[in-house]
Amino acid sequence: MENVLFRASQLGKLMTDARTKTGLSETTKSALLEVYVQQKYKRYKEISNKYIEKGLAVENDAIDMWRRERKQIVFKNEQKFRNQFVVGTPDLLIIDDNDKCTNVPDIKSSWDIHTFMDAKQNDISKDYYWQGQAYMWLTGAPTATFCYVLVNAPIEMINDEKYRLSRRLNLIDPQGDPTFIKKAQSIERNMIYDMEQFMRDYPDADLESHRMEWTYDIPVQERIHEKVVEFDADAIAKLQERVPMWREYLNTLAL
Amino acid sequence: MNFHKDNLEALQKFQQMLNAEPDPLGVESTPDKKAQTLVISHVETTLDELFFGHWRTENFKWAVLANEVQASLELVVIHPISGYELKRTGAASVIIMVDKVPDNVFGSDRNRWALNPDNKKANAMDLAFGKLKSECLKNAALSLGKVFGRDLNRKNKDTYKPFKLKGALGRGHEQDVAYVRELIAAATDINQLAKIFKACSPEVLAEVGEEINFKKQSFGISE
Repeated sequence: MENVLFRASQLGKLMTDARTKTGLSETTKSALLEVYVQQKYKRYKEISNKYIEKGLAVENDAIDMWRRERKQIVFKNEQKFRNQFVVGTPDLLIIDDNDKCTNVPDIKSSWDIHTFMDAKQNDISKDYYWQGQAYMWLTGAPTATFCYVLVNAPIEMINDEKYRLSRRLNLIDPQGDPTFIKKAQSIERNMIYDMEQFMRDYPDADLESHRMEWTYDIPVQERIHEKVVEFDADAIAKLQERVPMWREYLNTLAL
Repeated sequence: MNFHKDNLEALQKFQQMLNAEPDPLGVESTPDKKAQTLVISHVETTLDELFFGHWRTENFKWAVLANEVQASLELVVIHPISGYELKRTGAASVIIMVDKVPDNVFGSDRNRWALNPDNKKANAMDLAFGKLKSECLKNAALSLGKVFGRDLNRKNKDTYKPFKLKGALGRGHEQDVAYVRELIAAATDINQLAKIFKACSPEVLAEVGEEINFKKQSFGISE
């Protein structure tokens, strides 16, 4: 495992400091075990929850909304970048007239207005910080921008939430129950931010909310915020120092 | 009809349109106030819109049964994606209006009064026969989709769930093409056009070639 490359999205866990300052932290060891399984057995740990599912499902919508609002001529990047240490595929690349990458925007779709506002108020996570550093290192960009975007959830996810609600309430005919209707309307408000767009995407949507009475849209400008991370050569030097330790640990697992 | 994945996408999109909620402006209560119905004007206009005027009715048949006239017809539409003719049967009935039953008639005699043709209002079928045909058409249209009021009076309603079609270029591609078309239209000089050209994938460029050439010509640049 001498030449294993580490994925940008894994670096946050891998870069966790050990409490004793010697050796690897338990978080790092656990992340390395995953890397080991991926490398040796080509098996990837399935991590899925509704937040991740929404992020994947609305990725194109989120990119489209962000680039239109920021007036950027940019399209989803499919190119995988790698050096001798790390590998990653940034969402987007901003390239200047001299073909230099000047920014690496990464789109993060929030689950709802609550998680969106939470992200706005707080610093970016360690995972995102290291992901950004890796992308900048790989592309030569001086900045990485984490773009938090709030778009409508797909109808399947809304229906899924409503179905789970009906099961929780133990209802065989949920649409005849006022409590269900009220809660289902609340689900719709938490998952739809642009009703006109939603109805264009899903003209057959069967919503509990009355369209004529819908007044809950949030303007696009209020559904985007960004956190910029600047390239930190010291951080990259620290990362380069640690990679041999990680590879060494992987070799011990292989024994 | 070639059921290529892109055709399936178009079929599904059309099916989604058929299963949209009906226009609330066209929904009214039935005369007995017990149910809701989509009025005939909205049914016919929606047929015009969705099938581009390519619809007709056939085989309007009726029969008198006691004090009712029962009828059926066939609604024929040409599917705008597949080009196939689709037929839907619609059925309805109307009551032959009779004069008010006198107050001194009781019990089963009241029914007999209603069934006696002698008591029929003189112009009973004048409006009712036209309404009967409209009701048949409305009934036939219901089976095409929710947009025609299929689920207006149902509590337990199913929803149309389109498949995710893998292999089609997909929503991201559609959005890219739409965005690029807007950028090309808004471009004010050749440099902007060059930037767009440079950033686009070959798949997107393949679809906007005409627009780019047209814009180039508008800047005085020939191919």
